[in-house]
Amino acid sequence: MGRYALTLVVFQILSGCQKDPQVGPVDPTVKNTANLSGRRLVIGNEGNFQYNNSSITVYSLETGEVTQEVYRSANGEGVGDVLQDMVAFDGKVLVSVNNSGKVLILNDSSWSEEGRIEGLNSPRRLYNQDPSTLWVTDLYGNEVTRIDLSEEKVTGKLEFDGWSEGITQIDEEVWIANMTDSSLNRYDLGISERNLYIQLDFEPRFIDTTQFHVYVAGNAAGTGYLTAWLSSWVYPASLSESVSGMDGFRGWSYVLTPHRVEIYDIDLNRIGGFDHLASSPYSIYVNKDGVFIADVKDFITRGEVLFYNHQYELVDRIPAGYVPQCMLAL
Amino acid sequence: MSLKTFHVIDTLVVKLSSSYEQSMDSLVVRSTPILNLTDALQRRAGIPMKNYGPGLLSTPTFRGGDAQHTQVVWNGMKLNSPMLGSMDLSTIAASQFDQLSFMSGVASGLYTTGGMGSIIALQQSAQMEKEFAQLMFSGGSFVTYHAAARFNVPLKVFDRPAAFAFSADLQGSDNAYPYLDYNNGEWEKALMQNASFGRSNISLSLRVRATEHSEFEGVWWVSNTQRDVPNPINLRDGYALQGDDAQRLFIRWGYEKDKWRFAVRSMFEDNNNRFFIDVEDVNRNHFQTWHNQAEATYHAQRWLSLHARLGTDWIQGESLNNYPRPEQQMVYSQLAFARVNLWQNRIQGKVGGRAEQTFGDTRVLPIAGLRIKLMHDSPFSLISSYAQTVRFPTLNERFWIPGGVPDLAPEDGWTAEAGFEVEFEKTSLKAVAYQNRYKNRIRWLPSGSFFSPTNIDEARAQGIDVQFKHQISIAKWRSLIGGSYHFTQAEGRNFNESFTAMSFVPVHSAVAFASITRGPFSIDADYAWVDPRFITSDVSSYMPAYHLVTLGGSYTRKVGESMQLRTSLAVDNVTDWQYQNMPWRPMPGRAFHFKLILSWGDTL
Repeated sequence: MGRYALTLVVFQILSGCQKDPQVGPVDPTVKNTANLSGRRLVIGNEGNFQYNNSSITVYSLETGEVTQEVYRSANGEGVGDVLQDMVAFDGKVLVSVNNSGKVLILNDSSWSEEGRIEGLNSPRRLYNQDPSTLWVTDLYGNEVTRIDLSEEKVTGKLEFDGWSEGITQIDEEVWIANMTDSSLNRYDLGISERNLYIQLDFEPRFIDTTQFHVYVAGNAAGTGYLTAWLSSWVYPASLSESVSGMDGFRGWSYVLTPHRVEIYDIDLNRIGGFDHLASSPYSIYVNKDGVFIADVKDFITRGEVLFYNHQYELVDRIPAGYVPQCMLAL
Repeated sequence: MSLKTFHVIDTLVVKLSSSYEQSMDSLVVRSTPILNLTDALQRRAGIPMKNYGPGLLSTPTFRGGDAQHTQVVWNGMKLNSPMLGSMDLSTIAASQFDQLSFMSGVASGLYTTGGMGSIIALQQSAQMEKEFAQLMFSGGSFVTYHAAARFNVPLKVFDRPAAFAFSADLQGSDNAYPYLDYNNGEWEKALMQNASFGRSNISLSLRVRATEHSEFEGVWWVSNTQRDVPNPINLRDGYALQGDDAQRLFIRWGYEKDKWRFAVRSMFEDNNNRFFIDVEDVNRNHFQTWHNQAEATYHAQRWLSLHARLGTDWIQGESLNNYPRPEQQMVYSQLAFARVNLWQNRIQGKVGGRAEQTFGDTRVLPIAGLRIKLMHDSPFSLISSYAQTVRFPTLNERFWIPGGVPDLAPEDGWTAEAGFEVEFEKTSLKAVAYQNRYKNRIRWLPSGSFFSPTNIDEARAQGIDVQFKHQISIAKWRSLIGGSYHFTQAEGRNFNESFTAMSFVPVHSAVAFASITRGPFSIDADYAWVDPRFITSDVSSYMPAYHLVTLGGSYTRKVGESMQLRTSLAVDNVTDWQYQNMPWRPMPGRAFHFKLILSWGDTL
């Protein structure tokens, strides 16, 4: 009898020994105490592919306080898988989440979700043409999607042959980089048709506009390229290292390379630069406060954003989430 | 199926007896379900794995190694994909082989390069001395089925002694198991969907004793896997389909006379992998390998034997989307070592080295092992071994478009271990402490818009591996208990940053098993424990620990004069532990399995 009782006790212990209610990945969240108002930098953290651990970090440009996981705190769930891009306008922040196939519409103070557009194939970069129109490029969809933000639905598409990446606009035309065949494509928004195709010698990962110039940066065989278009290619710049990011500010192009930030004027003359401390620089954002460089470290450690002022002095090291990918200031 | 002792005129399995090794036997006979190498190594040896689910990709992380750091050899020939560098252990049926040896990376240089963590040696050969046949069928929860047939027949070919062996293994599952979805912070019941798989492995062996001193053997092995690859549960519903086909032909010739032994071996593999969504091909990968070895052993003295081997590997691989033009690789290898037995075999040593050249890179890798028995009749031995290791970049790492780096540097390292072994008639215990390091660790990191393999700084691991077995007989009761324990501290670093924990490597993992037999009845119990594993290197996010218990029982009865029928029932994951081995990849809870094994001949 004693044996049977012992067996039952052992079985009961085994049955009840799942003390940790967690089944999937456990991601200790960071306490959120900072003030989310005032001037602030928003950091979109890509997270690890298929881990569903994208997040949003907010850094106060006034107090230096950092708040992690603002979306989860406000909405009770994670952003999704592979946060890719953010744009802000009219009190909202739009967030594309690549591997979740969605674009989130968030309140830029409370970070509560005010809407979402789902069913997108593999959304990449966002461009808000006006308060009601958003364009979304796509990794696999062979299309660029137009979304009506007031109705939160897809209202049109540009047919696109391959992976559409960076997107920007001059007048009534949008410029879209094609990563599949390394080309730059210009579309007339009035008729939604392509009116210019430019073959490049490198993959045009980054695209920006200033004073009717289209700036394009990217890599080929480990070498970085930066060039500009103003009715023709007129300003090629030579880079000695690969390009990890590019951003424009007041007519200057800030190009992120593995060890430096190189700065070019509108004619792509190199006018300066500085060494940075990022071990794995991933993206760059420049505004009136300074230069922000996302460092993803080894991709599976929480990254950080290095904050330099315009004298290129390190102001702060901002702890971020996994794989800080994109930034914007509010 | 149960394993046989056999003798071949060849030295297919060259072990380093002074290193950590676990041999597994009777895998299919036990009532607990073991379908493939993943099950065998996890359940019987406690080897930590990255396992995406039943039938899905699984690779070991033994001693902190990446998937490419465990090499699988079949009759001494490398099976790892030359494109990926790894081997999906879920695709290899456990029932097919005569011997399955799991060895630490110290011994890997005796076979090939790349085994910084471990090497799995699979041995398959027709047996001259045995005549047997086995049929096995099992079915279980979630429409899981497993059928295997095997026979071995001694015969005459042109009046010469010969043997023919056949093995077939069919398995599959709907995998529609319930699980707890913890995606958004709340428990939700869900049912796994689009996760079915089917797999077949068939092999034929013919072995002929051509002359008194020489023999020939050919083994043909064809395998096929079709599986659904569901999205992780945190993503949108969806799945892809994956199909793998492989054909392998192995031939060998062995000659043995006086103090000399020669062997020539050759293996050709044609391997196709297709990945598609709906009916649209996403990618196709195809590789062919042709491995050749010529080997000589000279037993110079009772205390000394010399061994030398030359090898060439021709490799060709292509990936439809990523390098459609086939890329070729030649690998040249030389192995030489001396084995010494001194002082009435109380001191056994092996010392030598391996040289290998490919793509202009050459490495010379010393290997040494020493085993000392403290007293002549003592069951207690001290063991220690050391080897330098290298992993040459794979075809994908060199030629993948975009991102491949043709001049990527190999990973270079060393591994050493020391410990003791105790062997009594009914008890064995082996424990070693080890340390390994390697530099130029290769990881795929973003380079502009794509990922590119990059040599980052280094990785290191240290720990303890222990295995234990003990047989007990009391009156009519017989029992076998055993287990393994692995303690691993694995760290890596990126460039000159500080070391941090390597992801998906548990600090502790262990298994224990017990069987009790009385007459025709037996009861089996297995227990497995995997410690929490960090999934990020900042030691914060982690996968929780899990404990799995399997209980089973069987009844064996004779059928006629020469047959026996074994009937088994097992309950897997008795406590219905809800767990994920990889993030957002739930594993099955409690499951039931029923098994019938009908055996003839020398397996009785």
